Amino acid sequence: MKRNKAGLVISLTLIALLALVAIIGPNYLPHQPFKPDMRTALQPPSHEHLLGTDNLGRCVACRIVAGASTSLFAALAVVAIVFAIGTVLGITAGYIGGVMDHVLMRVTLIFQAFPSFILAVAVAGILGNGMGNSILSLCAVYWTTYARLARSLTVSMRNAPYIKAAKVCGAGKLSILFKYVLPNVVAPVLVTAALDVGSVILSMAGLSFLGLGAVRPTAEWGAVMSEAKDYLQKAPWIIVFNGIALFLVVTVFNLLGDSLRDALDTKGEI
Amino acid sequence: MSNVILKVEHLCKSFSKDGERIEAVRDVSFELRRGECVGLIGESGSGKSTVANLIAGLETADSGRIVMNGTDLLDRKDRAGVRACRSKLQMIFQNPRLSFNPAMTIGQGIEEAVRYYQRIPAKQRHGMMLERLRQVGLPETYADKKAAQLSGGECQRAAIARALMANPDLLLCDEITSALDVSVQAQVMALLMDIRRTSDMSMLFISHDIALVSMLCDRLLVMYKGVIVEDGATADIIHNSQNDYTRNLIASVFTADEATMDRWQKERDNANG
Repeated sequence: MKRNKAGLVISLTLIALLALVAIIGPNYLPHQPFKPDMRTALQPPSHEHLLGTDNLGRCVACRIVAGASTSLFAALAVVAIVFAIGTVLGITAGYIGGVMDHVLMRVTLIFQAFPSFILAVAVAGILGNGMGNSILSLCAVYWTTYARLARSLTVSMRNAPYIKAAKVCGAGKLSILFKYVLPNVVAPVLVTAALDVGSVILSMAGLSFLGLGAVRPTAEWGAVMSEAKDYLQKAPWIIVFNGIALFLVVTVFNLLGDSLRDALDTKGEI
Repeated sequence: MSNVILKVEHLCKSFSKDGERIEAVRDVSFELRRGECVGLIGESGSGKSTVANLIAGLETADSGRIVMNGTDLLDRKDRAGVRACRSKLQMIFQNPRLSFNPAMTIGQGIEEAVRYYQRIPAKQRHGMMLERLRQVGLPETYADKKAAQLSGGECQRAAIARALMANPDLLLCDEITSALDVSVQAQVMALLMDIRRTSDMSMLFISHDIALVSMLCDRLLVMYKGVIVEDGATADIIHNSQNDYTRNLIASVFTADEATMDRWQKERDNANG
């Protein structure tokens, strides 16, 4: 129990630090992250530019910090949206059952019939590039998992003795929904959400890498890596350090998901 | 009003499973008087839990009447009357840990019994809850624990506390000891017998364990394939059953000797005053 809490505290602290860097970091940068300066183009890491500079002479470290907020908050937005939509739809379908349940499950099956990233690319391609559209396209991919998970959890507890006991005690449908079903569904779904933040950040970077996400000169990490791939041999530090930043953030969110699962004791359910 | 608490008449219920129609309860009729403890026995699948679920309103009957304290529980027009009646009905389930919402503490779970029908103010509710915990032999500190932190027997005690909280006229016990260890079973049975001694609530005790049932109950109903095949005093059924199925059931599980039976009978007589 104590170890689980320790993991949770550590990962939450790291995420708070990340958020701090993403929010107030851009105000304290030593160099302009968006202003080209050809005199300093493609310089390796040095005392002046800790992580080197890119093809337009911009400080890589500064651009990583400047891009953090875009990557982080876009991913959090996607997860928050799919968490809300998926949980509400899943619980409603599972609790009411009948036609509503059938329709929802068929719709999720249609969405899940496509390879997820291809679906995201297709949706983003139709909507056009830009952060808003790539957030929407990832929501279209991720919501099904949440709806199905929430629905199956709801169905499994529909006949649980504690629900029967609540009915015998005279609890109405709404009381049962909000006091009995919702709290027991939210915990496992929350763990999935925490574990998904990392993969959403990666998918977002993937979309940007393909030119479907962030628009230049936004320093979104995937977009930066996409640009940097042309200089992989001349200036590997651009793509490597962005990759490391991505790796660290994804790891921290996976750590949060794992420790959250231990703390909420939903092992075996997911 | 007579002292009949519960009157079940021609109750029928069928399910369809895999395209097949299963008649779980067929024309079941019986009565329960105030303070009486009746055992409903039968093998699994005989429909005894369905009878309990129908009485508790967890399932809807196909036909028949369930009359409690003079009110027809299946009457859709008399909602207020049915609610008032249902507030005096409680049920205890087989799986003690799952009987409590994992998202609530035991104390909150017990208080749920008087939140909806009776709307007792929070402070008074809390006091009542602590008193019930003491009554079933659990320390007051358990009020802040979750079901997962309690043992099966403790959870079942807490479930009994929740049932008692509503001061029920009728208590349905659906296989409440079958998920417990034998030693814990004995403790829970002792608690139930204790409660019988001190209150005039009626109990419908459902079990496949004929020894346990005959320890607690004055009267037995034997159910087989959805039908009540025998209805009579415990000793009569144990010793002079006229029904082949009942005799097989008794022969297969019953081990208590005559002297023990007499002792239990005396204890019950004392309990009934």
